[in-house]
Amino acid sequence: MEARAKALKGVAVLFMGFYCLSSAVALAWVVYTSFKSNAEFFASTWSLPSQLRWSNYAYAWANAEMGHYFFNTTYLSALATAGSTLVGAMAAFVLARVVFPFRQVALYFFLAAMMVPAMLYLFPLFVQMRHLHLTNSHLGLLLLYVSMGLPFTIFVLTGFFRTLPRELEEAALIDGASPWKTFWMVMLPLARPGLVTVAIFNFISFWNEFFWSLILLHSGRLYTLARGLQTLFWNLSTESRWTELFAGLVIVMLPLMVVFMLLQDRITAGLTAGALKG
Amino acid sequence: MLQRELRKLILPLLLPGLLLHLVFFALPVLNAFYYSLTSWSGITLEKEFIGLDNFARAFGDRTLQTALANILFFGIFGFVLVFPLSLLFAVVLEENPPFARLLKFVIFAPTLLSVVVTAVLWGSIYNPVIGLLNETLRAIGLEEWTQPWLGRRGAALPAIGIAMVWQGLGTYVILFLAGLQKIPRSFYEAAQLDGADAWQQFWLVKLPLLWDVVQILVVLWVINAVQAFALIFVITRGYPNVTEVLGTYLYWAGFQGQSIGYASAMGVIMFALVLGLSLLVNRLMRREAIEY
Repeated sequence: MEARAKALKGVAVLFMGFYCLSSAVALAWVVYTSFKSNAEFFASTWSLPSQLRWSNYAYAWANAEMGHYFFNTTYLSALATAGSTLVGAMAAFVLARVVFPFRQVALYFFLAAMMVPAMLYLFPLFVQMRHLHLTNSHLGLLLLYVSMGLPFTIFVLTGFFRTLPRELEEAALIDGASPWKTFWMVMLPLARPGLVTVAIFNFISFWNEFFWSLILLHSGRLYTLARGLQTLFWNLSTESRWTELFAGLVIVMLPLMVVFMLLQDRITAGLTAGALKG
Repeated sequence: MLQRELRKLILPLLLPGLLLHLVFFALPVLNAFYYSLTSWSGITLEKEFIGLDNFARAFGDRTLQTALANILFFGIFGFVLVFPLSLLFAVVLEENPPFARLLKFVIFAPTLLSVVVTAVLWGSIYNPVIGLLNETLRAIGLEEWTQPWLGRRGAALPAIGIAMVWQGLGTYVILFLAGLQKIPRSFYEAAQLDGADAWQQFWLVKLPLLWDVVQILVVLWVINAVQAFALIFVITRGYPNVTEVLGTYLYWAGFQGQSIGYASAMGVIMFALVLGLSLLVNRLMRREAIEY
């Protein structure tokens, strides 16, 4: 009996090892190919680069404007994360700690968005954004991102605020602090661990966001990284300039890999908490 | 007293979020239902009300039927892969094998990447000329297996399904792992005393106690399959093709085919599918909660 279990486990471990190795090799292939010349690449798909050619990166960063998109994505993601986390935390506090009529309705009104496909309201939103002169504009994308991040932020932070003891607000209010001050100086700082987790997830989702930047942005100079990479892929693969394309791919991939390496435990823990509670 | 003071915060703290949510979510959602009842092309000013005609058209639309059949294929094919794989990997990882952290990193990293990265990577792997897959097949002497992986429906659907599984797997492994770690040690000890080996423990202790996680996983997978768009759109360059799904067809109909009304009706259908299927799964899989 035990022998059968052991053998199966051995097979399982081997299989997982094979999967992880293939996956790692595919990612490594992209990275080392990005240092080859196109001639080298066409001579052999698998071979290692003869020298580290940074020119592919120079091309992707400057000529293909990935550097520009990198800047756009970084500042948009940072602002959207700050906005979404802050506006979401404000709403979450009221929805979790203040008793008033229709409180549950308001909460579900926000959470409902997590079950609604973006494809449903794609066209009306596009038309509406055009009327407001918010298409092809970073301001439009930013407002949309802040709004898009709210349901998840509120979902996690209402759960977080509910766990804080009642006595905290009482003590602050009895000591003569205004409700306004109680929120900003006492409750919000206490929610910091929750805020950080939410902010990390919001940032990753804005950094990766593709759908709305595809719909709303038309001018190249406004593109985000995901939108820029898609354009680069469609253009460069037609021209068979794979090594430059892969340099662009690495530029998009690398920052998140570094973030994940630094925050691995926090990200996996946050994901588990978010999904299992829902 | 306390609540009366706190109520002063409702307006200033809730209003900004509520306004954003109304303007960028609620209003367009309501409009989507209205658009779906019109024949609006997107160009003219007036929107002609045509009742449920768009839905009647959808019912007889062959392209839409193919798109839905493709979703069904992705859904089932992907699930058959992702479910056993994530469960197996979680069971192995739970025992903290050597390099567990590194293995988790490799399994989970694709989940964090933008869907465009996945599309470019797998689009390159499947490329018939320079792609890693054909090159590898040639190198190991399986020349006759090489083919344009994204050109033929029979090969393209599984090929894109595998890319979807690669990207999604990490989430499911992490969820299963969390579920496994919640099971108390004493359960295994009790099972061992009763003479159950590791194999029986898996089927009789672990799997039944993971039922909640399985349920979440099925719902997540169904929702993702129905909404599939970006990966296929980027890999296939936005052209109609053998891997058409509801999302790509809807996008095409609205932006290229100039029928916003019909495209909105397909959006309503997508919403109904997401809602209906997740309720159905929850109902079919409902079971008495196990206390432990």
